[in-house]
Amino acid sequence: MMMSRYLKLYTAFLKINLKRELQYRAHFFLDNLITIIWSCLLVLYYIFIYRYTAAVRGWRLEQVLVLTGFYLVFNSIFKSLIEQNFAQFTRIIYRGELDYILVKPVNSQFLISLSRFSLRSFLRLFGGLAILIWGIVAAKLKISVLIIFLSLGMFAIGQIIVYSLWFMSLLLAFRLGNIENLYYFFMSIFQTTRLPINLYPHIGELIFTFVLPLIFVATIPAQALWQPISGLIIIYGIVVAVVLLWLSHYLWQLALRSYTSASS
Amino acid sequence: MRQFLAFLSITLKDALVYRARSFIWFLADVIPVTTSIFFFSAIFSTTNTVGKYSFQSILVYYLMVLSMEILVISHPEFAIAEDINHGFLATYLIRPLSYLKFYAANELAYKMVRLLFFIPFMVIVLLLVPQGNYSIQISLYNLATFLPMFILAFCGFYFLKVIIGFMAFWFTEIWWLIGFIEILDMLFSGLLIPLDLLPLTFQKIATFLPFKYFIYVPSQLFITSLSPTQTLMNLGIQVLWLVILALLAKFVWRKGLETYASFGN
Repeated sequence: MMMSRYLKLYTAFLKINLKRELQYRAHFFLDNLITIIWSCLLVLYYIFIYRYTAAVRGWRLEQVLVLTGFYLVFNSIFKSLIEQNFAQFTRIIYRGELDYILVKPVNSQFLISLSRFSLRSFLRLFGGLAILIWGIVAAKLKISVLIIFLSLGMFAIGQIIVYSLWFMSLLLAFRLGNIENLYYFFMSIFQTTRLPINLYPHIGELIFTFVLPLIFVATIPAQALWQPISGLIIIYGIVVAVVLLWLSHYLWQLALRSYTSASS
Repeated sequence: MRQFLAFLSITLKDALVYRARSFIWFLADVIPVTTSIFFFSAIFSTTNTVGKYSFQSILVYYLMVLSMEILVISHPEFAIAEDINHGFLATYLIRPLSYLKFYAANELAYKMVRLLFFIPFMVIVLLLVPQGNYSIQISLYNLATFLPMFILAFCGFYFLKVIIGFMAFWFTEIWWLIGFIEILDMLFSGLLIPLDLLPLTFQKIATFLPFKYFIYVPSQLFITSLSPTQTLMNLGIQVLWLVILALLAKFVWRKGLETYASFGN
């Protein structure tokens, strides 16, 4: 009952946002063109560097392409569903616009995280998928349905983890006030996931596994396609995703208590 | 000049208020390059050289290019586009001051605040880098050639970004253009991968764009000394690009004002 209400609400958001986005078709096209070029740049980066080496700590070019594909698809989904909302998060808090959200009879975290939707990086999704498939074909991977499900499951866990961490980083706005680029703070950290996590120095690998579990963004979903993922990692991922999502909600409500609105 | 200094002192105070903001932009600059450095560190765990580079030299390379990017590239385009789109431009036009000077002072102020993070960062990194036979050479000659190149690069990039900002006269949104220039800069200034590791076609393209002369060449001064002829040649090309960009900025400004309509002001 509850779920269907939120789904209905989200469908309404989608419709409004689609109309808004399609008002400016030239911009839609140009912005997407640029994100596609960005994707190509990332691929070129690896192709250029792999002219000088065959494998980097076990990662061959094809495998890095698979990872890049996951990274880009992740990016596209996140930028479409979440980023527009996060980009205006600070402004909403700072200018007291949060009032409009709090008075509505819907979960406020849902509203502030999902009410806006953007198509500006939509085509990157297809760019990412193309690179992913290219990598899979080039690496001659044989993939069963089960493995696809496992990989996608890990990928979904990565989305939840990134959402929660990113959301929590934005809560700093309640403390720090008007920092309009606050959402770039986590975004810059997130960019480190375009590299296989196990290519970082050991300490980095530990951080990205246990402190900021960004290993689930691209590295594990990619690895799942060519090597068995231990049950422990799967369980760990699920637990971390649930805990972080809960924590983001808990901290959100804690932060709301310190919210004083703009005029009062 | 007095006007410029007055602008600078105002905008510096303003920029200091937003230290946290500057810090986040600084992170956004530093982290992608750090990622590249880690990638190369992993590559060098199995090989000794990539092209002409050792791990140490590629580290120094990235630090130098990153420094140039951070110190030289300004971002007036966002504010200019906003002024045009929201009609604030009119409030500048009616005052007896130079619009471009105001933003130049503003950018300079933000750069000064950026140094607050940049200098400690460089000190820490340089202390961490193991001292090898490959080091940064600081001599009077290097400094004397670096300084004019640095100033020319700052001005050149400023005009380039101003032109991008002015595009808001014709396009209501210019994110795509900002993104496009950023891509060109990353690839052809050597920030993504050292320019001499790119395939030859890309290296050739780089010679027709300003990024190589504004970023890559000056960043190499402290690693490999340039001969006086090479130095003069680069300075010449920089001046040429600066003149082209400044004239273009002026032209676009004039054309833009003809089409500009400020509503509700």
